Amino acid sequence: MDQTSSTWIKTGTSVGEAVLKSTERYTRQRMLFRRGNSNRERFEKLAESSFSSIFGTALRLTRNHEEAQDLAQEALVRAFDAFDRFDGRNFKAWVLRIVTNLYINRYRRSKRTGIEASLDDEGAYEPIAPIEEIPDRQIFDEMVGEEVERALQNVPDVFRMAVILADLEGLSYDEIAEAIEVPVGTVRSRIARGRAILRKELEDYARSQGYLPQEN
Amino acid sequence: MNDKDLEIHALVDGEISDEKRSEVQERISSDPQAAAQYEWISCLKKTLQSKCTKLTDDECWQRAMKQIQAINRTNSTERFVRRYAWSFCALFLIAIVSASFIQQTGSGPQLSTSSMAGIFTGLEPVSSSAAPDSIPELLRSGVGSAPSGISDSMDEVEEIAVGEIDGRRAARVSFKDGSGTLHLIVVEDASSVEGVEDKSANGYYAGSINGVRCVSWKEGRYMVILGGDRPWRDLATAANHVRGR
Repeated sequence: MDQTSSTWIKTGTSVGEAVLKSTERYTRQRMLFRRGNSNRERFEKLAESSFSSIFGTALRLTRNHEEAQDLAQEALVRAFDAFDRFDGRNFKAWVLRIVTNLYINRYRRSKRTGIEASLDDEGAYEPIAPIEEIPDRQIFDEMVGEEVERALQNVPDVFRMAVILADLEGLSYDEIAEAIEVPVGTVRSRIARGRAILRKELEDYARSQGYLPQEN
Repeated sequence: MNDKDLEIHALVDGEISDEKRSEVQERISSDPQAAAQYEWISCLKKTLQSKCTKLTDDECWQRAMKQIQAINRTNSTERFVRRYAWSFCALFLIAIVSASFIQQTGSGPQLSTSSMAGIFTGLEPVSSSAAPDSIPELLRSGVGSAPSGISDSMDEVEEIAVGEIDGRRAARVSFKDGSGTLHLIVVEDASSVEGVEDKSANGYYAGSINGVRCVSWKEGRYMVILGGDRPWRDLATAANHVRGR
């Protein structure tokens, strides 16, 4: 604003006051508009940085590309709707909580099989061979990503979810407990059990491919 | 799976307390089975992290962002409307009031029968010496200007009276023609006359005021009434004559 116009406004004439008032009103409206936009921009930045985790988790949980797309999209929309309630600490953990909750509500209920249900119970079964017999580095080094992914797909839902969140997404036990709404103790046992099942899957696969000698 | 196994998993995940950590580490260094277990858990974790690549899907991302932008637009509009709802209501009310005011001042209200009661007697007569020569001038002296459609070729004028009806300027000219006396009344800023609303007399509104048959019509912002003791059809003919038709 140049000196003349500011002096004119400072004189307190009714025209000056009117101009000031309309300017303030305009600024308020712009701020309101920008607040909405900046909120969306902030969300987009955070979501973009976590999108591979969101989509990856969705795909590894659903094991179906289209369902994963739907799940990831719905999770993002819900996250945006609830963005005002995000505490600002760990966006990835927060949004993965939405992904897992949606998955549990939408998919698992309809697809849960009797085997998965029984595995969820404590003390179901011990799936692995005696520890000392298995040369782990040998098995795992031979594997390619696709084979590991396939083995992971064979791990039942509840255990797979815990393993994905802990090992692939790096969430803490507390964050996982919050995400899947179970006590931390249950998270610990699900991770341990999930890893044991996954190891058994990898071991079986290694044997079938001749990486390991066949069991007698 | 016992607690000791879970402690080894927790150690690999960095989820163990300081005091437990040293205890578990000691167990791993002294117990080959615990060491083997620690080894495979670490190996498996590293394998998952290194061999499971990051997954992404551009189409899914674009779709989600489109939906979010649409939601954001809706939210912004809703916020705006919520914030300014009272202003909108006030503007709407002002618009209604203004419209009704404009309608009232534009075409004028209806004159009620009660306000028209003194139409033939209540107006103040103007002395014949002060009366102007032509009908438009007579009316001009009563209502400020004359309706454009009034002819000045009327017969013998009996009485001129001016005054107000229902707060509006009005003038009455009583004159004679071959069939008797007629009263020509002009009221400013009126749209209709209660009781003279039936448009049936050769294109004129027809009715009665104080028992006197009348026809009426609009001339710009004026309501013009022609009354007399004769059939409406004859009044319509006289009205045509007054209007120079």
